[in-house]
Amino acid sequence: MIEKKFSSITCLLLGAGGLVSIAPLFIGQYFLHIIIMVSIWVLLIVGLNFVVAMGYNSICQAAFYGVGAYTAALLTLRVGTPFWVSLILGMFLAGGAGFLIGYPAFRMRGHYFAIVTLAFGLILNLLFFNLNTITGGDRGLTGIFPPFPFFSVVWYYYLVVGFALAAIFISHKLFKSRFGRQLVAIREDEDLATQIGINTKKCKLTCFSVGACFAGLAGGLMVHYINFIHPEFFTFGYSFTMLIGVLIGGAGSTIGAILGTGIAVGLPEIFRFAGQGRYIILGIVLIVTVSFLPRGIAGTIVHYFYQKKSRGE
Amino acid sequence: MLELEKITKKFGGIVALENISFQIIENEILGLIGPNGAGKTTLFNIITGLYRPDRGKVIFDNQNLCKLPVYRIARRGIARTFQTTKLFFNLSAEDNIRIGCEVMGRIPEDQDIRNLLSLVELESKRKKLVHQFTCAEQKRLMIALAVCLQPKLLLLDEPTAGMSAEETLETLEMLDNLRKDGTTILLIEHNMRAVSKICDRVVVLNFGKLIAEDSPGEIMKNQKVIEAYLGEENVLVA
Amino acid sequence: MLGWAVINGLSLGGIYLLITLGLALVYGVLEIPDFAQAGLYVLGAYLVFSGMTYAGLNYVTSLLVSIGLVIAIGLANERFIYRPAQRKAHGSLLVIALGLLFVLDNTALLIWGHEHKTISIGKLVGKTLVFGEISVSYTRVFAMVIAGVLALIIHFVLMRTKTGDAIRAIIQNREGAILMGIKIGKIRSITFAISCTLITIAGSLIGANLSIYPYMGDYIIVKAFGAVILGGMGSIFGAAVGALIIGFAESFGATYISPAYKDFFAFVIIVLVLIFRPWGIFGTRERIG
Repeated sequence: MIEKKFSSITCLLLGAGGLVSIAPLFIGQYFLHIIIMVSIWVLLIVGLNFVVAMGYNSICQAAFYGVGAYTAALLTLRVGTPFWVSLILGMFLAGGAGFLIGYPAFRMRGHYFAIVTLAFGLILNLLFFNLNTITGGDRGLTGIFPPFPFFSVVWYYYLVVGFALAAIFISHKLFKSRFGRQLVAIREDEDLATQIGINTKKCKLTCFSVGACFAGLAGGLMVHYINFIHPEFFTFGYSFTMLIGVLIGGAGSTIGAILGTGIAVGLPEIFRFAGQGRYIILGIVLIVTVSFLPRGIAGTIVHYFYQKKSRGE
Repeated sequence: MLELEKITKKFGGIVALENISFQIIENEILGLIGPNGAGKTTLFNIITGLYRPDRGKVIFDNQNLCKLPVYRIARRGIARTFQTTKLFFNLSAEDNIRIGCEVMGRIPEDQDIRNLLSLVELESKRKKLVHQFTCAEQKRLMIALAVCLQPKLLLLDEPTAGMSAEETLETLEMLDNLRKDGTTILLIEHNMRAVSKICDRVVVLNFGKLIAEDSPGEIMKNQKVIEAYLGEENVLVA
Repeated sequence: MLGWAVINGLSLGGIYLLITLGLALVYGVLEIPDFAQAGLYVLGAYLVFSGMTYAGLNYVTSLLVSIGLVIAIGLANERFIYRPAQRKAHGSLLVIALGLLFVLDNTALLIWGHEHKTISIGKLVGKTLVFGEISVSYTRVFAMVIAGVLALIIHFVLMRTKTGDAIRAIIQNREGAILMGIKIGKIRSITFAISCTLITIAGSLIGANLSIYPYMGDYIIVKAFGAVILGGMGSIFGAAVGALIIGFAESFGATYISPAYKDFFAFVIIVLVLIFRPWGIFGTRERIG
């Protein structure tokens, strides 16, 4: 329904997949590195998008990122589990955290919900910093390596981009499905959605947990790539930047998530010359966008075409 | 089909409903009337699970609904409309209905949606966004949305409010058709002509208490009912 | 130990009190969960610091100038960002407030850098008050006294002045207040100004007692908001009580359990309140978000 216009996304994905596979022949390591980092952010933002699509602003995505990252790092480092096991367990633990936090948090709506997620995010971050013996605290942990052949940048590139494309595909399928329409219903009028029989609690928890899973996976992937972890990666600032990306890009559509990733990663890069000032610019862009385009850029465009179609009859 | 047993609901110090007990018989159209503030909408809210009663039970298909969450009650086959229009305003009529149909698990064909919309004579406007509809059209769409849940019991809260005489007649005809198809209807109405035309029985509330339960003809002559409405203008039309 | 925990609780609670009062007033009158107050808090603290360090002003003068500047910025925020956004009546005010906070935090970081700064209030430096086994620095006593005095002033203003009456009327019943002819716009600005004043003073007190750094607002604002929720929406007195409870919880937690986790206790209380009793101590069930 909402995404009918973009059913060509599957074609786009296939095309992108093709480009991705042959890219290493033409691009240097530096650009592969950039694509890897962007792909990790894609996972984070696509995950967050599910929750925000329902109208719930979550400000703890970076905390789930951290749960996945620390789980995976500790498993690889201390327990010696295989790479895949670390990644998957990291993902599930993050998802579990999502469920545990979501269960009480979704009793509330609007900004109360956001504040609870904010508080939980801060608590988790505090734990990352203070559980020194486990997490290495302020010194962080080093020496987290992936197995052969993934310590080669090219191989890791294929791995991460593969996950990112899969995430985009899942997101696309989800928003076009019956479940996706239920998310729209919840965003438009949650009480009405409940009254017509939609199990809103299940929808909300599912989105939050799945979003947390994506973040957890991103965490595991990131840690094994840069071989280092530190609590500073999982602060409120990052959670908020991710939310900024989703809100400016437009929650509720895969295109919005992709655009959002571009904004969250791209804007600070473009304005790197401004030093700390680039975050000021990001903040200003957020305020302006939320004030004038509450649906985000992609959301506004999608809605525009939806309205146009409705006038056709 | 549905039995209310001693339903009591208080809000702070105010008693909204007190010891309400009555039955809704299968396949009937039951009217629920009473002056403003009598507690009719509160009763709807209790049946659909929006409020929990302080005392009493709502028994539907041999189960007490009061313990169930709202969405589960809806899925058991109780659908409702609202006094103030509640729809997905930014979506098209078609999409509103589609979401409603999908709740029961199946993905509706285009034709199913069109059939449902033609029930309320909105088929030609199915792609239009709901906020562009007139008030009366929105009310009809609410009914369609409730119907697409394939409810056994339909709760309608003032479905003809603000309608012209012609529109009212059309709506009543539609309700009669629904009843013929097997739906049971509980109807809150202020339009007494409509009530006497379509309802099999009528239940009257006043200040949260049930003051009468009878056929429409008898209700109109009931002394207590007349007194209850005496403050209201010209509601009872012979 | 107990003595220290109590003193700490009082001084922390006192500073939280100032911030919470401001936040509660703004939330009650303007219906904005104004997290950007944290940014003004940080900015205010840095401005007082700069006034004293770079312009050679004494504490009071620097404070007054900073209050003026913060009020100017605050009113500009209210007028040009919040008011138009509220007119459009959409639910993202919190996000806008957080966006503003983001901007203000990073502005502070840009101008003043990462290093922690402190404020030394000339007459108070180095002196301590001793009673029994406990010695308390004058600065800390100063903080408690100021907080107490300001709380009393606010109480007086709210209860005994016409403006205070108007503020309380709006908090309790907005539509009714408008119908009675209360000029919302003017009261909004006054409330904001009061809040900015309280927050700048609070910032300077933290600067004198602990230190100033760009992100210090983030944790504090969550605690302050937690205090508002703990006390109950719509109750200014409740917010004050909430602030003291959180200050004490933090202080006792830090003294008896673990200093590293001091923020933890405050956040946990907030989470628990939000889950089990979101209408707080003095609030009523209906008034929730």
